[in-house]
Amino acid sequence: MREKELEKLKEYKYGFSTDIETIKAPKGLNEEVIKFISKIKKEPKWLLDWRLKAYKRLKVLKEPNWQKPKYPKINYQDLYYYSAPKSFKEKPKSLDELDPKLLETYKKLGIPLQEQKRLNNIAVDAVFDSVSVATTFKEKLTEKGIIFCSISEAIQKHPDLVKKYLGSVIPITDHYFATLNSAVFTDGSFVYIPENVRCPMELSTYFRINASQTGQFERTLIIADKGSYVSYLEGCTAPMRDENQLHAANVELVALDDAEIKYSTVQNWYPGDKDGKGGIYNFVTKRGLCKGKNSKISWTQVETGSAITWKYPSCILMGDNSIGEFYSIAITNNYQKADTGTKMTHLGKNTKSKIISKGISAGFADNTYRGLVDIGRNAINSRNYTQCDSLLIGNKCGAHTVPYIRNKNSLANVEHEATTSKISDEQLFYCNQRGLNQEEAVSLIVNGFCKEVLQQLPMEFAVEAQKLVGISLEGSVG
Amino acid sequence: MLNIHNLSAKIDKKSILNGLSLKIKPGEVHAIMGPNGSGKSTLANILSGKKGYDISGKVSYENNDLFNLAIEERAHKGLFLAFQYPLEIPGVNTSNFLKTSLNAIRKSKGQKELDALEFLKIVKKKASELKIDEKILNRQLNVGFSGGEKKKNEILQMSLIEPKMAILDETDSGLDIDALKIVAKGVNALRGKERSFLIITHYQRLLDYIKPDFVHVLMNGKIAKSGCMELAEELEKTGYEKI
Amino acid sequence: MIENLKKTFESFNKKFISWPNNNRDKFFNKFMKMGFPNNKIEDWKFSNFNNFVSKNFKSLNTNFENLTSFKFDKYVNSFDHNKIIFINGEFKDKNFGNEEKEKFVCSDIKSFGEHLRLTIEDECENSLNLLNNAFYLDGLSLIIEKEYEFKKPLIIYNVFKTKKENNFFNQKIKIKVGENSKIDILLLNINLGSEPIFLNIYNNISLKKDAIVKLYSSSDLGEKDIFYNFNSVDVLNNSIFENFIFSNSANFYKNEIKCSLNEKYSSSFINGAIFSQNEQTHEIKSRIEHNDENTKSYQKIKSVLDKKSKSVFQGKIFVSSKAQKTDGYQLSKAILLDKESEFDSKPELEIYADDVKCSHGSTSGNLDEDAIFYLMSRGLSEFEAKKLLIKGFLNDAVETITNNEIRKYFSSKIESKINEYR
Repeated sequence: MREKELEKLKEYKYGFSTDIETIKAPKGLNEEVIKFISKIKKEPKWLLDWRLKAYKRLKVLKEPNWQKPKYPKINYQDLYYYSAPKSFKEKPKSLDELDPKLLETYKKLGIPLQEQKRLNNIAVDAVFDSVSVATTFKEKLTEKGIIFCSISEAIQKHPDLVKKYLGSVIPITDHYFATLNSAVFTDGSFVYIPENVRCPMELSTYFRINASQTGQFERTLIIADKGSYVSYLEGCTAPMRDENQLHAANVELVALDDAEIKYSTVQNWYPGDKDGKGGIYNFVTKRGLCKGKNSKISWTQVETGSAITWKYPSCILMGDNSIGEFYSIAITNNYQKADTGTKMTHLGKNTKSKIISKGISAGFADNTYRGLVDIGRNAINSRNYTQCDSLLIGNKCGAHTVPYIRNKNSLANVEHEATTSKISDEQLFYCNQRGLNQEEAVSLIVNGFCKEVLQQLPMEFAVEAQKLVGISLEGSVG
Repeated sequence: MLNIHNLSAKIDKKSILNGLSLKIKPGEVHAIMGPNGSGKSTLANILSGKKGYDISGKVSYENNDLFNLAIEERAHKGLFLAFQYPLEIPGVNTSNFLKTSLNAIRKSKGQKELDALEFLKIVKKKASELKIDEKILNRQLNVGFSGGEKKKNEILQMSLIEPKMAILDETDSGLDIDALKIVAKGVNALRGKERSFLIITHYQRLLDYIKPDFVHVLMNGKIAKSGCMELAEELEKTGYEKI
Repeated sequence: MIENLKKTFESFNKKFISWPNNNRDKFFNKFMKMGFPNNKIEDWKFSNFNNFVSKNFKSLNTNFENLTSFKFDKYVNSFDHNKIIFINGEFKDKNFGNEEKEKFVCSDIKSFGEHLRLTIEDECENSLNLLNNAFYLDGLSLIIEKEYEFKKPLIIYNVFKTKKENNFFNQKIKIKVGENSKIDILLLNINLGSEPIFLNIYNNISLKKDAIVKLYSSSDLGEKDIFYNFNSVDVLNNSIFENFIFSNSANFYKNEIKCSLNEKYSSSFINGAIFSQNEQTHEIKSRIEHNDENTKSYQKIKSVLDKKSKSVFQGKIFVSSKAQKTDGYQLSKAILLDKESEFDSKPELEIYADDVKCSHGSTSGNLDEDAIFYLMSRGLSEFEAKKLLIKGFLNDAVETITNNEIRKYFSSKIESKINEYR
């Protein structure tokens, strides 16, 4: 049995779980649970009311069913909506007070939190199940006036900012999972970059689901004030469990005049085993608002994990001359399913958007690009360029491209291109002849296929992502 | 080094090689000439392990049964094929590919893998020796390369990998005289006691610069005639019909 | 509207009540449950069909007794052709000149034997197909034997000139082409009257091995007309289906095609030119199914939009896991000439085989300013320059027509439409 576990760990090296005592909210979803969450987090009344309003709305909403991946009905009453390490009744003031088991967990994940071992030039906020456990480099950031903390802390310390922007991009009435998140969100990261400040380091949040039968509902809010710049990274893993676990996060970005936000994700939640058992349902709502003129929001994602991924990081290009970008790699193997893409809503004049999507499917997996480019009446001189490429490995998998294009402006230009291809036997033969084995050859070719997107990632992440691309496809050829 | 005994090959039931035999000893340079469709490329492909052929006969390589080795194992053991049509692999940086390939082979031999700097030093040296513009190292592998650039890239790879047994499949076709000299230079620089070559070609041109030890004529899937350099000159004059 | 339609159906259906197994009411009841398509339905996402019906019609009527007839002879003079004439939805006349009559059977659907009539109903992809099954009035059945190549193209004149109490026409066109046979068809829908009509045609075309069918379609309809044309096409081994649509008239026109490439080496070419004006809405929707190896599909749709109009292209290439070596290509390009027009597209790929070559492209934008400038520097007025560019843009789609006479027909038709353009 132990050996079998170890064998599995080879396939997904983040699949271990941490044995730690937790405090949980009572199982199930109801007003009491929401009040429990709000109380344990010592939230102000307006936020509790906000949550309850979302919950009221949730009761009339239906789960969406238009997306390609179908999944068995989720019993929302059978989930825990809050789980935190017991030692967390009070958030530790310093790392010395942090449970050594947690430190150990993050070390194993390659995210050392201790001062001396910290990753160079990356500030990390570590979220474990429902709570943020530690944030590094805080002092250095504070000097510049940058706020980088857990959203719970922001609610206490910067209520005005939170109140102003929370739900301003994803309203609580948006859609089922976004509304669910609004009702029960537990923690997440908060970033505020003041006017004309260029954030001196990468900000990063590392999400970890540990407890079983627990949903993770984090909420991230990033505000880039006029003329500021920030690059933010998000990584995630979970232990291997036979059950499916729900992850329904909301991420809101706001870029004011001349501000730029670069948001990168390497998503490696547990994808389930070879037969499609277990794995995370990754139903995430991510949306950025280019509120000010000349603002820019750029999403980059490498999606290799999760049983089902279903997310569309989007940009609302409201400010004149604003820019939205979406770079995506989605790799599905075995029985994984991904339905991902973006929405670019052009409202302002001279707005530009660019979409580069690379989908790779292998095994029995299904991979869908779904996107919307919507050019409004007033978005004169706007431009969009979209390129969606799919790569299939084997003929038991599927690749789909479903772009919606609406152009209501005669002075706008929209371009869309899509291709589907395979790794040719000749390419493999050539690589083999140069001494690469089958898996090395596939990894090399696929990395080449994804190059345009990998280039967008910050250096520290790019290397990791390249390896991940190779690992995710192991055993798919041959 | 390489011992081919009574090799026959079919593709879709069509016979291409019919009992070909050939022995190559360490240090020897053999040339195989022959008209179009005589089976020259098929021989090169089979030796390096391309699938899709129905094969009978025996080939031993350094006392291993060649057919028991996977494509990359053959490469690890020093068998190199310069492709007639090198493949384009979009998005893959040429220098990155060369490094991956070289390190895979070094690893199999228990040698230390080269880091980026060490590798770059070596590859730049090799490129300048061969008068190959190092700009191609930063381009996508063979993508948008001219025919000549692709072939030069193959020779560069060969001199990096330093194989024991190199097979050149019509590396000379479509090359101008300068590129041809680069190819010949690459081969001549590697020539040595322990290293053998099998040069497949259509014309005598390349052989003028390489001077093989043996020349064979391949016709109808068999060696029809063997000799030395004079045979190549004779063929150039009289053509293949006379044989 | 729906209530009134029920009355219309009841009196219409009386005619057929005596038929054994008349199941028009089954289809009608099913329609009543669904209603007219609206934009909540994925296939109708970009235009709310329901609105077009209620905007242009107070009631929909189909009435045999009141059908008026008039004389109609010919419309196309530029080349010799076989012809079939429908007047107000009813099959009136045919003339196949000196084709070999024993090689094909051409008949109307109304006078078919009753047993045949029962098998004529079709699969229903949507509620308008249901309506067609409930209300079909007449149509054409053309069965071509094997080894026959038509000498001349066939023009189907579908002509209307109606009174108010007759505005709703459902027709069926069924064409079966035998092995190694070939036919070129031009379908012309013409409304000569001033009353608006709602025309709903269901085409069913099947091609046996090595057959070739070229189907071209053009319409001269009124400002308030609604036209829905559904094509279901089955293509077998090594046969070729070619289709061209020119869409320029009617208030709402949707041409939908489902083409199944069911056997090896079959291919389909679906091309179209849309020139929409005056608050018109034009849609082309295609679904190409590659169900076997080495099948090929090619689509090119060019649209020019002006004066608050809208056009939509929804194209899907589906490749089953069996269909290795598929070659699928799809291109949609649009030019918007005014601020209040809208072009929507949804070019979709759904692929389950790995060794395929599929691509699609979609662009929309305005006329190339540099090209206008260039032409003006050669002495053309800005308006002339624009017209020339539009012509060239649409002609790119017309060039795909392989029948020379018909290509010339479309080319001059589009030219005259552009010359009329103000």
